[in-house]
Amino acid sequence: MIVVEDLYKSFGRKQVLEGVNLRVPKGETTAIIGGSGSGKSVLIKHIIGLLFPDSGRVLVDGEDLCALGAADLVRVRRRFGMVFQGAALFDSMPVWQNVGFALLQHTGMPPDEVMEVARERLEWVGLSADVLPRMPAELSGGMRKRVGFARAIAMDPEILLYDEPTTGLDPVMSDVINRLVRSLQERLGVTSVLITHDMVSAYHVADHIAMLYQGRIVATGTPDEIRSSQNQLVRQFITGDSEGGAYQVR
Amino acid sequence: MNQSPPKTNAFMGFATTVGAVILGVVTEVGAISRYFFQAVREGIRPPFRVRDILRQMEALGVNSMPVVLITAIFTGMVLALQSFTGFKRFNAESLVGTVVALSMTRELGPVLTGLICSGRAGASIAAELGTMKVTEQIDALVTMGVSPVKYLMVPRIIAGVIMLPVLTVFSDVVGIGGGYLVGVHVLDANPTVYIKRTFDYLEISDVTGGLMKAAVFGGLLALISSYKGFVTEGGAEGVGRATTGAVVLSSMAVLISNYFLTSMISG
Ligand SMILES: Nc1ncnc2c1ncn2[C@@H]1O[C@H](COP(=O)(O)OP(=O)(O)OP(=O)(O)O)[C@@H](O)[C@H]1O
Ligand SMILES: [Mg+2]
Repeated sequence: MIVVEDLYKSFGRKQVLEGVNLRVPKGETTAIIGGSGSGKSVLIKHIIGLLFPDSGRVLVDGEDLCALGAADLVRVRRRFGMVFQGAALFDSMPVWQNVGFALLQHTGMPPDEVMEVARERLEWVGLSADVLPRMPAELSGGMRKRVGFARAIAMDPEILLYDEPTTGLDPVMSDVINRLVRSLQERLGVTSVLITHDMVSAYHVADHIAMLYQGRIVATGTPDEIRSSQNQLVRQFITGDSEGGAYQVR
Repeated sequence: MNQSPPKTNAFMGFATTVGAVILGVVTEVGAISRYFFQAVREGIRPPFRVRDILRQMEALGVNSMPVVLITAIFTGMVLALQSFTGFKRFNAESLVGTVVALSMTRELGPVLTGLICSGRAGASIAAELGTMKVTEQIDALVTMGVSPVKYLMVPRIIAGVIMLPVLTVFSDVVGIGGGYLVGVHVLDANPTVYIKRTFDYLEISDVTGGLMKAAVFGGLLALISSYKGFVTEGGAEGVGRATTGAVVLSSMAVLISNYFLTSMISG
């Protein structure tokens, strides 16, 4: 269980999070929706301890990330896998070393076994073994994204954080990723936090949906509850209406 | 509308700017020192990434060697010319070799190498790490439980501390060689006498002192440039700013630390 309590974060004079409260139940998938620049990426980076709040807490199974020392923080972070918005592949190494990076760093696993794990994880995300020796710069955006996904699941994490995993993919490939998120959760019981703009994806994948707006969570519920929500902000966001009055683009 | 007299205004503006600059410098020095202590703490703990260190040493050497050699030979040559012109005025032409050797080993070899590497290696370190920062590769390292300081900064600092003295040795030798070429072939000095004069007054401590300075310069410029990379914000433009910032700050660090190192070593 991940609990976000009253999180405030600003960069310089720009207030991004203004009291976020969120509970992510264990073994389920929570989608965070919200407009561009609403602070979704900032929020997810607090959950894995890449950013630290000005005030408020993030508890991962009861452990307050802000109160942990460096070694404990590393231990907690290694329970996570994260898929970055821009893939964040290491430019200087081929795909298989990217996918197997954590294995190469933290285990004594020999390279051919790492290669095998990488091959398997790439297959899960719909990539063939041809990409193993290629450099990230030679891949298309969608392929990079999926390699990033394969890297996140290489160490069998308990918690997966996805920052817009389907943005920039074609509809069929988005569906492949959505099913993968779903099946990882069902098969391995991972806890997932998924950031998305894509309502199809949120409805399909999530057990819970939370909407971030102007630095706060303004609505939470199951996909059905969100779909039939009377909250004007939510209605406008999910129908893509920029002139409904309540939702302000900033 | 501003009602205060222009003179006070200008002074206030000036004072504010100076204050902001001083505050900025102090803050930055503090941040860099924190990274330094973290690098030492993490650097002395295994695993030691020998392969990464070798790769950085190679990058540094290959990057900077040609420019270091060209700079050194012409500096040695011009030193010979200048000291000949000056020393002729009091009939001390025979000391040209001595002056070239002492200047190169004690001062110009290490400092010029430090400045060149600040430009070449400093820029490439800041650009590489800055790009990694803005594309979230550094974040990705952290999420996978790998410390960017240990993984990226420490190998670069060690490579700097080792390679700068190596480059400086080349610089010393080539600079003294350049002085010899001009001394013997342009200024018609007697080769035997020139060589004798070169080594008569040269002490081993001149060379080692210079190499010690070079090692410090190497560590400093790698530390500063990595730091500039790590704190990069704001996309490609930010990487550009980080790169120029790294070159300027590393060069200043080389020149400023040079004074204090020299006074410590010769004092
Ligand atoms: N390191 C930072 N320094 C300064 N400002 C930042 C930083 N990170 C994020 N911001 C600002 O915080 C705000 C929220 O950014 P964030 O990346 O979380 O948006 P987002 O909801 O993920 O948007 P998108 O859907 O476009 O990815 C933005 O205005 C951004 O400029
Ligand atoms: Mg984002």
